[in-house]
Amino acid sequence: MMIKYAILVLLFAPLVTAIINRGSVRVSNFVHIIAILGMGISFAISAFLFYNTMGVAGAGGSGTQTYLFHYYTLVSFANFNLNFSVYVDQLTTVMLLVVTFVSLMVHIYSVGYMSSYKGFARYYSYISFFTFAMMLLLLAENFLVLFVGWELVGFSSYLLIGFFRHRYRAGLAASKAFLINRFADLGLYTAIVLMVVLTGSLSYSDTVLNASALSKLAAMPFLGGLSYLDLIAFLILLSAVGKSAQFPLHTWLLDAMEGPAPISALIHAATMVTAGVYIIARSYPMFMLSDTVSIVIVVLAVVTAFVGATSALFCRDIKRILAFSTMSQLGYMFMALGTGYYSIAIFHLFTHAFFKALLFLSAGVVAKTLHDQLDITKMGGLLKRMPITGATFFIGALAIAGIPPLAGFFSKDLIVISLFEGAPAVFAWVSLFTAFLTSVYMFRLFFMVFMGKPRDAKLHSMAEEKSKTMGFVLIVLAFFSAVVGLLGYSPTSGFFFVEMLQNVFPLHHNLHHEGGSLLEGTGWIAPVSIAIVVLGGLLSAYLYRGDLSRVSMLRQRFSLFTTLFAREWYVDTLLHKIIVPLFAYLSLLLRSIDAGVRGLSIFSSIATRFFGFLFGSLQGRTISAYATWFVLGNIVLLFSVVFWS
Amino acid sequence: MLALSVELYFIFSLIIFSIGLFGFMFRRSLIMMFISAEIMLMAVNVNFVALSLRYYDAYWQVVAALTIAVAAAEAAIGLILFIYIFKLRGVPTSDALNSLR
Amino acid sequence: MSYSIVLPLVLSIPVLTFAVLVLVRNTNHMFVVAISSNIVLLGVSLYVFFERMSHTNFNTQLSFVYMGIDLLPNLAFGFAADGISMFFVASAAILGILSLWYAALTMSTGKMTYYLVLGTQFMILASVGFVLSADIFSFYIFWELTIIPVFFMIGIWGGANRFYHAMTLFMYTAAGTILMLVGMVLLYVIYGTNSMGEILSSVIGRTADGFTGKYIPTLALMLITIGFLVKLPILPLHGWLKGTYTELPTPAVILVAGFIGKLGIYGLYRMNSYIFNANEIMSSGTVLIMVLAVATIIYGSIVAFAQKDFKSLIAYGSFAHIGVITLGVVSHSSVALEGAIYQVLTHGLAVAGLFIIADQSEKLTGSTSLRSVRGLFMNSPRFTFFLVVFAMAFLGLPPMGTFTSELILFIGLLGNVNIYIFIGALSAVFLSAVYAIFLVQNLIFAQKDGSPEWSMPLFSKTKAGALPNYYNKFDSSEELSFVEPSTTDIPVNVAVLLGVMGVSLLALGLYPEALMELIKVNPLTLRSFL
Repeated sequence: MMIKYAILVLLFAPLVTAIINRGSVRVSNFVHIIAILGMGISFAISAFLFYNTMGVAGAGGSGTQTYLFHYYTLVSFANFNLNFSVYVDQLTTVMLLVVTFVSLMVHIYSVGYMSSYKGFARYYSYISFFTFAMMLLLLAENFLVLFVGWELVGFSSYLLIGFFRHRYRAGLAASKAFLINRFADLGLYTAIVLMVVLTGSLSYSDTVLNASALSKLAAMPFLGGLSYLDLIAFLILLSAVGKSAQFPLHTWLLDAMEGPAPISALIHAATMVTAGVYIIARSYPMFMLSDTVSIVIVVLAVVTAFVGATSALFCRDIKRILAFSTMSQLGYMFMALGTGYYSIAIFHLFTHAFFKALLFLSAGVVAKTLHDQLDITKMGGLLKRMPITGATFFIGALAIAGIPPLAGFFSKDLIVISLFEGAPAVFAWVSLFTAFLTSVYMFRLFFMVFMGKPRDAKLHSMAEEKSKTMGFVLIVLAFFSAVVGLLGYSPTSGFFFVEMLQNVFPLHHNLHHEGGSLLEGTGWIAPVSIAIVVLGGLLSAYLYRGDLSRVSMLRQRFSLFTTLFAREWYVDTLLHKIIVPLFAYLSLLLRSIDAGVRGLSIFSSIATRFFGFLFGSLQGRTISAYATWFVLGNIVLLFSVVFWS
Repeated sequence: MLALSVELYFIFSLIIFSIGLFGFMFRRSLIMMFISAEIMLMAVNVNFVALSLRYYDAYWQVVAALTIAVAAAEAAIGLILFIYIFKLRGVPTSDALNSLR
Repeated sequence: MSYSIVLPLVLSIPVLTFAVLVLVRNTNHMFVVAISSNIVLLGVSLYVFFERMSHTNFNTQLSFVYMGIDLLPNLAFGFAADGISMFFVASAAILGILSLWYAALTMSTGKMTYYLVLGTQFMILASVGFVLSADIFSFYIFWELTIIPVFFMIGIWGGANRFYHAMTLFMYTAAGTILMLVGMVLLYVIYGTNSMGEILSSVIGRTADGFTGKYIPTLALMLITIGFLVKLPILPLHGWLKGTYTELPTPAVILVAGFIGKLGIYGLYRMNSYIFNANEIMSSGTVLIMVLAVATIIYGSIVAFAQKDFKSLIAYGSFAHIGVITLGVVSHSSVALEGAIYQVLTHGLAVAGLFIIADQSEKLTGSTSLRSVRGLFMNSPRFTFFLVVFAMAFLGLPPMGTFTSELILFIGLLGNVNIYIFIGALSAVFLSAVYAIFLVQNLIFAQKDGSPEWSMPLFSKTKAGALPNYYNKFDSSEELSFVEPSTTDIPVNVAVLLGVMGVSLLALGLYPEALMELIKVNPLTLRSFL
């Protein structure tokens, strides 16, 4: 029973520190200590839970443990209850570990990064609150608690993107993020209502993990050959598309870079945007049964990865490039989700969290010392002045490109293999091409920022590495980026991490299924992908190492494509030039109509005056007139009396 | 002794009453309206007398006498009001009385 | 303490308070008297709740109290209560406390404030009477009484156009209530009794018969429903809304927007909620109301976005949410009904909070315009915090009460209404976020990074460049000078009030079971009214 309360401590420690820090502006000396302490407690408990649910390490399969705790019932009706309950299994603990670890690293990093800004206490309270909300999402046992966490995470994202309130752009970006997410959340909301009405419960065990409920839903036809199962799966997918910035709802993620770099690392790389992956993984039986939706996932994912990679090629803003990279990598995760290999997706989520956080945080160091200059065409040669940052960034770039033995290689490789296995080959080839592009733009970023000659001498002279906390975090994350991939592969027991998660997804495609291992016949993929990636790095070195003359020649030759990529496939343009003006003009139109409706009460005064005039004119003003009416009336009365009877 | 039928008395009174009525309705001068009112009252009196003739009962003649007394009193009050109106409005016409102030 | 004592107690508390306030014209203690009486009212109305906690076998029963005025053989005044009535009384008491508390904080004691307090207390009195009446004539009388103080308050405290707005309000509600009176008299004439229970059971029992059995009662109920719809308001009949909400003084608008506007909901529930299937004419009428409610939601949210004034935006936003509540009440689902009734309280709190914030922003900057006020974060951290919290509560962010009640409403709505109506109602979830976020963005964020552009659409391209300006064509007659952000913040006592409201919204969202016990509608409670 201690675990029941330990989970509450895990969950609420960051909330408590958030409340303390929010209320106390004066104690800005201790704010970060309180916050880090709370986060550390949560991290320790999540590590403890991880150990518990994994069972004895290496025993593989036996001794695993899940927890389900019911805390209280919000409201109970005849047909359904709304409860606050917590469910902990290996999926939960893996994700909790990632979230608390990255959050702890960001808390420590922010000591150095945010030290010069006002609102230090507010910042820490917001990131602690975010961590609380994310953990609430992960610990949920039913879709209601998940939804509460989901929305609160979106709300913290709003607070954090708009952290710099003196910048109007930040406000716009925050609103955009919140509204796009809210639109996508309509999907989850509708799915929840459908689930309660059709299955009577919101618990995972009664809905998405329950075979009889799913078959009941699959039997209910919705329209055009699809069933209610497909509908609910699609609605959940919609919310995941919004939260995880898949095409076409990805534009908010790019503008979300208005927030400080550490929260870009925390929220928009490692944790919040992975909530979409989590929800699909959690509801995996539903997606396994719905082929239509799985196909949609794969298509969207491949498109997302491709759009993200191509748009990053011609982007100039450090953080925006990294945002596109996040979008692209999320696309990879969704590819694995679509082909049914959910554990591989979670594995990629796990590795990606480390190196993406690393990349964002080192970009943050660069941005901070260069006084918020983010344009890479003005940087160059920073490696000499910022060796730690540059070196860790390079390690992160290697990891994301997928060079063994770093993390990204194993997880990305598995995804490509799963695509060859479970989807038409064209998708797999596109994903390989995207891997090539990933390598190109990532090393482009590295070469243009850290290598070569400085393009702006004044800017260059500002660069330096001052903060020990930031450096410490970067080194830790670089270490983990390098090492964590090996968790995926261990020569003795095969794919340890993925197999570890098999227990969560007992129904899904086993890596070693009856036809043989997934890896059979795919041994050629690994060397091919490594070759592709190395080729990409070399190409990038060729183009971007020195001056950019070769690049501009290329741009002129292929101007059609480069314009498309530079304008980010015109999605943002569509939003700003068509959708938003449409809404704005509609609202103005309705406002004028409303003025008309409000003016309708004028008619009452017109009518009153008209009838008043009408009846008033019948009245006389003189005694004679009254007499006349009197007489006439009497005559009428007399006649009526006489002739009626 | 009935020299004429009673109905003729009623017709006579009706004619006189309508004279008075039309006079009341279409006269502007207040004095003329008073006179018309008196004419109407007189016509009603004639009616009452004719009734007494019809029913061979003195009762109606007593009623006629009462009516004359009432008419006289009302004429007196009316004339006092008329003097007051004349003082107030300056003109003794009915359209001078078209407002409540 | 048996339940039958509660009813006269609840009825007499507001009356006594009003009498005390009128007779003892002591303006120094008026707030203490008024607030404490409302606290007592709240406690008594929740008596049912407390009783339920101690007895496991409690089911909400009715108790009738007759006032003993028998004018004609079949005319008697009666009052009755069940869980939902008590819930409404509790809501009235809560909003009354908040309204008086805010008035105590922001208005100086004096003659005018005394009249405001009297008016507020009168509104509470009339609402309590309305909610507890069990015969159609006292129902009608109290319904009329609730509007009278509003009318005077607009005329006294309003702005430049106050007489126009007061008369507009009067015209609309008069038209509605006259129709209602006609309907009620028709019902009295047909059924020969003015007891609501008997009338409603007769309507259900005799709807198969000919002219008097079917068409005239249906007509009467339709007329009464129109009377409720005017006050709610629903789409074509909302012309009075904007003027009223912008001209009233804030303590009054807290009570009016938070509670009085929802008395129509109570009326719909009481008079019509189980007659909707009585015959096919009533059913099609119900569908019409549902369509109008969905239109209200969409129309109200979109028009709210285009408003130039803080208070108008809240007014239209509240209008849109009342569309959601109405949909819940007229749908044939008891779960949706319960969600709707719970939303009466939560939405009332959220709207009240926003109006308080609007008033505070007017005190801070001298203007409620959304086009020329920017950058309030700079010196007003408390204001910023509460604006964000209440805007989020208003749009239905979990775990606030508005989210929970709305979710319950939609769960009840799903199988019981047309699918298109359901989808249209769902848009409320997204559209309410649009204008709420627009509100927060415009007031809080500043243009200190360059140009003071005050008329902003919601989004802009993030690449540098000209920002599109849709409103210039329509708002160019507005004052275009930028109002400087204030140098002060909302006072601590107002912040405490807002904090209490926020915490109660959170509590209502996290543990709705507490008050839902009162509202749970089972067929027994519905029929026992008869």
